[in-house]
Amino acid sequence: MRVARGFNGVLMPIKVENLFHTYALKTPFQSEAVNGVSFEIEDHAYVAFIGPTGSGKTTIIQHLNALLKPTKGTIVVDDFVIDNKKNKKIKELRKHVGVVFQFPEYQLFEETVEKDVAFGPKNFGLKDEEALQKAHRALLSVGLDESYFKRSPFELSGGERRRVAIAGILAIEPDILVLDEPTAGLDPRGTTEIMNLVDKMHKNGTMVILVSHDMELVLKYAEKVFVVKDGKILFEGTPQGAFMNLDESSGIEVPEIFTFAQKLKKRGFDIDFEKIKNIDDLILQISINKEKRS
Amino acid sequence: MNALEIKELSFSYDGVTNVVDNITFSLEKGKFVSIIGHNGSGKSTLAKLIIGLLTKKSGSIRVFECELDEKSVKDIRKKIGIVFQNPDNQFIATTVEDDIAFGLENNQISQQKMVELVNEFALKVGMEKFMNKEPANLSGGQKQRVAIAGVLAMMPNIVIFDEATSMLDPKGKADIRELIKNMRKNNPEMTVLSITHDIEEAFLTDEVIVMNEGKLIRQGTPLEVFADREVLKEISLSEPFFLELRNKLLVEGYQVDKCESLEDLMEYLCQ
Amino acid sequence: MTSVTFGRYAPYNTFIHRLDPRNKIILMVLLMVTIFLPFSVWSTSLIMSSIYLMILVIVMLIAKVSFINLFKSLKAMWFLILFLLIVYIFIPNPTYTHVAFSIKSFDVYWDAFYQSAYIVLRLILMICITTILTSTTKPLDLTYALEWYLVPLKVIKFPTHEVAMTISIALRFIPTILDETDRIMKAQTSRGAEFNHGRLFKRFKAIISLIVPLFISAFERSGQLAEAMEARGYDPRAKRTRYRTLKFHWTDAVSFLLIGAIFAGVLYLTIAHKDMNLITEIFKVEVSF
Repeated sequence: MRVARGFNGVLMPIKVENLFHTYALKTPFQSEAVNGVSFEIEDHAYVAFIGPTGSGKTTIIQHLNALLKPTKGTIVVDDFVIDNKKNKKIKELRKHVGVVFQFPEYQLFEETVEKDVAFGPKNFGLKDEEALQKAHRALLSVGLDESYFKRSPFELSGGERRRVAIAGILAIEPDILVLDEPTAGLDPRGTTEIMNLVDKMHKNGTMVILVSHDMELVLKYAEKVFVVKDGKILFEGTPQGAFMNLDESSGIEVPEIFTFAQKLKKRGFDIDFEKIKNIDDLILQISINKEKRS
Repeated sequence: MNALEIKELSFSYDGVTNVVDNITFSLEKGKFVSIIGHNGSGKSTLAKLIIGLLTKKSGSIRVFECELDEKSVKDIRKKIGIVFQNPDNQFIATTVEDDIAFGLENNQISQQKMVELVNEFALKVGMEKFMNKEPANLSGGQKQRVAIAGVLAMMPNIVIFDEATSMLDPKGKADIRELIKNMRKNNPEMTVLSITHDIEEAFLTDEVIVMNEGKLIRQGTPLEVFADREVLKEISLSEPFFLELRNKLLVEGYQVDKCESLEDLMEYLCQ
Repeated sequence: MTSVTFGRYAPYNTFIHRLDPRNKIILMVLLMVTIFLPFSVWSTSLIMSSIYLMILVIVMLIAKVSFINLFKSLKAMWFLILFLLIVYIFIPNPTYTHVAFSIKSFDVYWDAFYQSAYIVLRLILMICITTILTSTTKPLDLTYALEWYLVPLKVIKFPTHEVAMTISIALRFIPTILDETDRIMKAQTSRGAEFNHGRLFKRFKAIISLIVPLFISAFERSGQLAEAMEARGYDPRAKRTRYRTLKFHWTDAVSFLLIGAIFAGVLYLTIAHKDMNLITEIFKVEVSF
C-alpha cells in the first residue's frame, strides 16, 4: 500500500472491486458476509448503505479503513490499495477515512473531554498542543462549548457523550466520514442535531458514507443508496429509486411518505417519485396533479 | 379502582433539581397509555419510581390502592412487570428458558408449574424453538421477546415498557409492537404503560402523557396531544407523518381538518 | 465468538455428556487419586500408567474429545519435559541404582529417565482427565455441581447461592464482553491506536483506551442488571425454587461403581502389594527395574 498523496487535500474517490469477506475461514464457524461486491463512490458524495441487519453493510464499510481485510478482491481509496496482503501504511489511511461506530459513546476513556477528543490527533503524530487545538475545534463544531472541555466524559448525558465521540473522529479531519447508525437510540431532537452536523460536514467538502436503518433520514439526506442483501448489492441509485423499485423482500422498509405516494399513484395520480425527498415535495406533486385535473 | 395513582410525585438525584417534578396522574385498569418526552425529561426515572427501584422524595404512588413503601414494594413488584431498554442488560440467565424461569424462581413457583409456564410463554412470544439458545446467539428483538415472556410469566396486572424498542432495528421494533398488540388483545384487563420517545408508537395508544423537564405538561388522546404543535415544539418531538401531512395540506388550502387518518386524507385527495 | 470455545465444551450427546455433573466431578477426583497411587517398582508403575492411559483414551473416544486440541495442549509441555530430564540427570538422587552410561566420570542413571517419564505420564493423564470433564460438561452445569458441593458451607453462613449466581452471570456475559472488546478495539484502532506495534508507551495508552471503557461499561451493565433482577423479585437471601434440577440416573450409579471399583482395586494393590513387579508376575522373568 502506498502513501496517499491526495492533491490539495481534496476528497478521494473510492473504488471497490469484487470484494469478498468470509469470517472464521476454515473453521466450523465460517460465514460468508460479503459475496462479491463492486461499487464506486465519487468525490463529495453523500451515500448510504441500507439493508436488513446481517446483510453485510457493516462488514463492507469496515474494509474502507482496513479494519477488515478482504478475503478476496480489492478496495482502492485514492492511492491506497487494500487487499489481503500485508501492508504497513494502514495508519496513514485511517487519517483520511474516519469511521464512527454504532453507539460510539462506549469508546470514551480519558479523564477529560478534550483529552479524549485529542487522542485521535495525537495518535496520528500531532504534538499535544496542536492536538488539543484540533480537539477544541471539533468539540465546538459538534455544539459542545468550552464549558465541556475539562469535564469528565462520564458525567455527561448519553447524547452529549455521543457528540464527544463523534468529535473524536472529526478532530482527525478525515476526508471521508463513515458513520454506522449514528442516530441509533437517540430521540428526535438528538437525531436532528447529529444529522445536521453531518450535513454541515458534507457541505464543507467531506465525503459522507452512512449506514442506517432510518429510511426517513436516508431519503432526506442521501444522494445515492446501495441496497445490500445477503452480502451482495441489490440496487444502486437514488433513495427514491430504491423505494420505488423494491418491495419487502429486499428487507428495507419503505418510508410512509412513499407508500402514501404509491397509493396516490394507484388512484390515478401522476407522481414523479424522483422529486420526492420530503413532505413539501409530495404536496407539490399533489398540487400539480390537482391543477392538471381541473 | 385505578391501576395506578400518582399524586404530586417528586424525585431528585442531587437533592437540588427535581428530575420528576410534582407529577399527578392516574392509570385506569386495562388502558394502554404512553408517556412521551425527549431523553432527560424524567420519564424513565418515573418508571423506576413506580416499581420502587428509586425512592420518592415526596408525593404518593398507589398501585391498586396499595401505597408503595418499603414494606409493600415486594408485593407490588409481583403486580408490575417492567421491560427495560437494553436487551442484554436484562437477560440474566444463560439460556432462554432459564431466563424466563428466573422471575418464577424468585416467586417460589413449583418446579412443575414453572416448566408449564416457561413453555406457555415462550410460545406466546414466538421463542419456543429457542429454548436452550444463549443470548450471544440471539438478536436484540429476540432478547426483548424473551424479556417480555419472563415478565408476562409472572402474570402481572400492569406491564411497563421502558423504551423497550429504542435499541432495536426496524424489524425488532415491528416484532415487539406486534407482540404488544397481541398481548393487549388477549389480555384486555392488563394495564400497559409505554414509555417512549417514538411518536409513531405513542400514536397507537389510548392516551398520551407528555413530560418535559420532569413535569407533566399535557395529557389526552394521541390526536388531541399531537395536534397541539406548541407542545410538540416544546418537547422537540416531531409530528407523526399523518399529522404533518394534514397540517401542511391545510396550509396549502386543502380542507382536510376533518380527516382523522391517512385513509381519510387519501379519500379527500382523490375526490 | 461463542461459549463453545470457552473451556472447550463440545456440544455432543454422548454417554459421558449425559452423566450428572456432580458425579463427573467425583469420578474425576477418584481417577486423579488413582493415577497418583504409588508403586515402588518402576516397571509396574509404567505399566499401570499405560493401562490408565488406554482406559482414558477409550473414554475420550466415547466422549468425542478432540484429540487435536489435546495434542495442542500437550505440545506446550515439551519444554517442561526437557527441563525435568535435565534436572533429574544432573542432580542424581542417592536412591538411583542403575547406571545407563557414563560421561567422563559422571554417571547418568536410568532412574533419571524413569523419574521424568513418570512425571510426564502423570501430567498427560491429568490433562486427559480434566479435558474429559470440561469437554463434556457445560460450564454452567459445573457451577451447579459446585454449588451442590458447597451446600454444607451454608452452615457457616458461606454465601453459596450468591457465589453460584455470580459465576453463572459471569459465564453468561463472557461472549457479550468479548464482542464488546472487539468493538472497542475497532473503534480505537480507527482513531489510530496501535495495539501491536509502536513504542511501549503508545501501546500502553492503547490498552488503557480498551480497558477503561470495558470497565465503565461493565459497571453500567451490572447496575442495569441488578435493577432488572430486583424488579423481577430477586432476593438472594429469600427462599427460591429451582427451575433446573440435577438428577442422578442409573448411568451415574453404574459409572460411579465402575470407577470406584478401579480406585478400590488399585488402592488395594498399592497397600497390599506395593512392591510387586508386574513383569515378573506376568512373564515369570526376573527383572530388576
